[in-house]
Parts: sequence; C-alpha cells; structure tokens
Amino acid sequence: MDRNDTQRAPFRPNRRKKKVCVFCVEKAQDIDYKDTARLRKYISERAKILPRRVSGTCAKHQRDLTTAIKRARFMALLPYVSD
Amino acid sequence: MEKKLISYETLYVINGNLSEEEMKEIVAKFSALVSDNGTLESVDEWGKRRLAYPINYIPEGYYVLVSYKSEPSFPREFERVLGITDGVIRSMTTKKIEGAQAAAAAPAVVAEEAVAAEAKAEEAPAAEEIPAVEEAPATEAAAEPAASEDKAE
Repeated sequence: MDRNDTQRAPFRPNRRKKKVCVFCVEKAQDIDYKDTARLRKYISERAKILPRRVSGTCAKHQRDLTTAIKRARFMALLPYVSD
Repeated sequence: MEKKLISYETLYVINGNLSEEEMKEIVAKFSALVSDNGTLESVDEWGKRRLAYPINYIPEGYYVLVSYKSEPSFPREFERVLGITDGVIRSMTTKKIEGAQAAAAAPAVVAEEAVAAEAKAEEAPAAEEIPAVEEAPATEAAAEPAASEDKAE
C-alpha cells in the first residue's frame, strides 16, 4: 500500500478503447420507438436486446432504449423472437 | 381553470387485409375524432408494412401516426375507441417530450453518419462481442495479482 501503488499502475495499461454512449454524444432527450432502423442495431440476431457491455450505452440510455424496443415490439415494428 | 393542452402522438395499426376504402374510412373517422377533441397537428400514413410477427394470423398492417394537442383526459378516450374499433389491431399513445422535436430534427444528420459508422461496426458484430466478454475476466485477473502482491508485502 503507499507509494508502490502509484508506481505499479503503468503495468496495467488500458488496452481497450473506452466505449462512449452514442445517445449521450448526440444529447438524445428520448429514444424514439418508431425509429426501427436505429433500434435494430441494439438487438441481436435472435432479436434479444443487447447488453450494455456490448452496446456501450450508459445506464440511463440503456433503460430508455429498452422501453423503446419493447414498445416497438408491441407495435409489431420489431420482432420478439426471430431466427 | 385554463385548458391545458399537451402534445401527444398516437400510432395505430389497421388490419392489412381490409380494403382501401375501409382503411380510409377508419383513418377519416379517427382524424375527425381527434380534431373534435383537440387540435390535430398531422396525420402521417406510413402505409402497408409487413408486421414483425403475425397478429391474429394477420401478416400485414397499415400504420397511421397521428400527432395532436389535447387535454390530458382525451388520450384515454381515444385509446378506448381505438380498442373497440374493428380493424384496428394495435395502438399506442405517447406524450411528446418538450424539446425533443428540435433534438429529433437535428440527429437526422447525425443519424446518417451514425448509420454509416455503425454499418461498418455491424459487419463484425461477432468480433466485437467476443472481446467484450473477455474484458471482464481480464481486468479481474489484472486486479487480483496486484492485490495478492499487496498482501505478500
């Protein structure tokens, strides 16, 4: 503990580029459930909602995104399942 | 009390198996209903689209988006009427968020860029997924030796 910690830090370089939430970048107020072309990027091939660790969205926008996708599913704009 | 008008947006889906006239009739009926109870802003008919999944064995739907301003009591009534109208298979009303319109107009340009950028990313979604899974154990593994070293000292 003490100074060694600061010296050790360079041994663990951050190899991975940090993902930034796309919706935060464009300062999105809300995510439109009608914008299917957009939402399609956040569902997997089997039409599951992609997790945050894959999509890189922040917690707030992931919640908004989830409701948007679910609304779109109800309106039959997006599938619940697909294969 | 002053009338409090709020912007809403309703999207409804008409059974795609109906004839053109029947659909027009339904659209006209709802447009009239909305203008009677508030101010109709726009009726956007998306036209016939294939449903993402069949609803009551219906493969196609005719989508209509209505945006309007009304008192807060009206959407419930509108939804009720939509629900009991034959030929309407789905409907959804959402409140428009203030300031979102400006934001929605601007991102159209941003969205295009994003589409281009993400189209590239989409080519290798699998490749992107695997490193993401690896990431967690890797950082943990990196953190653990450091911790044990601390103990050793």
